[in-house]
Amino acid sequence: MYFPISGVEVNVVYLIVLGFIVGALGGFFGVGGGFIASPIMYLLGIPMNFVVGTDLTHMVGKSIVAAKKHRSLGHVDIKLGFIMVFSTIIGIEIGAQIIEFLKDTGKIDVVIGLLYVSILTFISIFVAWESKKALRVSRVEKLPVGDVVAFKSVTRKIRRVNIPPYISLPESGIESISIWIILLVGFISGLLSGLLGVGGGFVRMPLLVYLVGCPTHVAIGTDLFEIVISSSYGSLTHAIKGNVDIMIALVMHTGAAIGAQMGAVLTRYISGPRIRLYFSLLPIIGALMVLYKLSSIGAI
Amino acid sequence: MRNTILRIFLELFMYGIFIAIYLIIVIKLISKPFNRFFIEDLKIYAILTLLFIIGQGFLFEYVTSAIVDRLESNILD
Repeated sequence: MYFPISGVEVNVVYLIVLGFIVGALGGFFGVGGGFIASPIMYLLGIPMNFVVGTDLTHMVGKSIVAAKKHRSLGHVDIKLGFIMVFSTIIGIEIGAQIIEFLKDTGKIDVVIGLLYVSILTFISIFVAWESKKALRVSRVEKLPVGDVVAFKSVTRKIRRVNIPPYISLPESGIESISIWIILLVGFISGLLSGLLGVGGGFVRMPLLVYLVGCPTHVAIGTDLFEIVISSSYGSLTHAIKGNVDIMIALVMHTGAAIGAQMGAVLTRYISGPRIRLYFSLLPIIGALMVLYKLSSIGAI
Repeated sequence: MRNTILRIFLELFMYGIFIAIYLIIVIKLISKPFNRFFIEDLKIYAILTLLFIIGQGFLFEYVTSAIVDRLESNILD
């Protein structure tokens, strides 16, 4: 099929299958899936300037499907999501400003690339270690595996932060937490998102579990709710700059919708620690993609 | 197990037919107007882009939700 906006001819079956894969990952892990979709879209011949904007646009539709499903399963904390949105957008803008500053140094690809690889590798190792420990704890102490977290001490310390105002998040099972902690989580994920050019799902999901103390399923659902808002913002700004091919986004979304549904439903049958253990593989794939990209342009 | 896999494939096949019809009718219909807005007014194009993907998001949520719920209840039966 010919897409006149971006001026490319792409087989729609490839786009639908790609949408299905990233949709399933999104519904199951609460991530946007840009780390997989972007390089494949580029390989399919879509110009790079259209890749990012179009991927963000299809992410809006896909996240609506997944977030609605998670909402029906009781996995979305809307209050938490809305509070985080403000600091996430501020973080994205500051991240983008840092990028502009680094552009002048001429080493932006290497600096950002290596930062990205380091952060993703750390997240991957940490989440794998913690989830394995949580699974072991639940087995040894014969606890219901539901949502055992082996890293509770830090969460408890963070909950004791005495900076008002405080809020309660009943949907996440949190009686009282300083609003600044939530804003900080949103800001960190937004900053990394703006700095690294990826969705914040990689970072936000673990931060919500380990710092805020959300159950894994609620972290996934709330993250998807947050992605709906932040990717809508990103989609609009990219579309105004002429970087979105809506036709490609709509076709990809037809596959992503069913994938997102299946991914979201699957979370109902798998425990929190096990989801986190599977999740730990994703950042490593993202890191390897960046290393490959850096080596292909001769930066490392 | 064999029945479950068959059911999944059958539902996906029916969804595939739905997508094919949807793509032929809807996408073909809106492709030209969107292309015109892309050339003439990017602000209107951007707003319409967001509205369409949100609209399709809700429409497909409804359709896929029905498929997955039916599939789930069939498998559990």
